[in-house]
Amino acid sequence: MTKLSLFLILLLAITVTTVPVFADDDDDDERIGFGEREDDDDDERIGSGMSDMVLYVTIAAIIGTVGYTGFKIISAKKPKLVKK
Amino acid sequence: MRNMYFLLIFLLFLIPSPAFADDDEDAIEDLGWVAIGAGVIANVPFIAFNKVRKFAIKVGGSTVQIARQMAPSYKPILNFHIILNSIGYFAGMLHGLLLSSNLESISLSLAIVMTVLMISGVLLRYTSSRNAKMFNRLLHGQFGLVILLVGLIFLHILTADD
Repeated sequence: MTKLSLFLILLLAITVTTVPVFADDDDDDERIGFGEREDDDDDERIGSGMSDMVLYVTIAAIIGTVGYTGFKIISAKKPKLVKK
Repeated sequence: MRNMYFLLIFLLFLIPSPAFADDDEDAIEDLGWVAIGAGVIANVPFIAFNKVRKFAIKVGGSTVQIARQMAPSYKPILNFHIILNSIGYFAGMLHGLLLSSNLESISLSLAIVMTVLMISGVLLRYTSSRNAKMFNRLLHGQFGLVILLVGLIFLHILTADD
C-alpha cells in the first residue's frame, strides 16, 4: 500500500513538474503544435550531414560499451589454461 | 525513513516548472539549470560515497571501521539516487515527446544514452541473476557512457536555442 502511494505521488510529482504546459498561453498561434515541424533550421534535423555524426558516434559507443562489457564477463568466466 | 521519502517527493513539487521550454530564453535556461542541478545532486553524492567507501576498504587498517560506519547510509543514498534519476528520466522523456517536432540528432542521442543507463540501472536493481547483475553493474558504471552523457547534455544546451 505504501509502495503504491509512493509510486502515485511520484507520478503526480513528475506530472506537476513537467506538464503545466499547454493551458496558460493565449498566443497559441505562434506555437508549433505536437507533431508539426518548423520549416527553418534544417541544419540539425536527422539526416542532415554533420549533425548525424553525433548520433552515429553515440550508437557506436553504446554498441562498443555493451560488447566490451559482455566480453569482460565472458573472458572472466573462462578458466585460464595452465601451461604444462 | 519513509517520512523522509514523502518529504523529498513533496519538495520536488516546489521545483520551478518552466517545462515546455519554448516560451523564452529564461524558461529554457531555468529548465536547463534545474535539470543539471538535479542530475548533479542525484549522482555526485552517490558516486563520491561509493568511491570513499571503496577507498576506505582498500586502504585497510582503521579506515575499514569508517567504511563500516558508512554502511547504514548506503541504502538511503541509493534510493535517493534512484528516485531523483527516475524523475529526471521520465521528465526528460516527456519534455522530448512534447517537443518531438524539433527532434534532432543530439536530442535523440541523449535520449538513447539516458535510456541505456536507465535500463541497466533498473535491471541492476531488480534482477536476481548473478550474470545479469554483473553485466548491468559493469555497464551502468562505464566511465565512457558517463562522459558521453555529460558531453551530450552540454551539446544539447549549446544547441537548444537554435
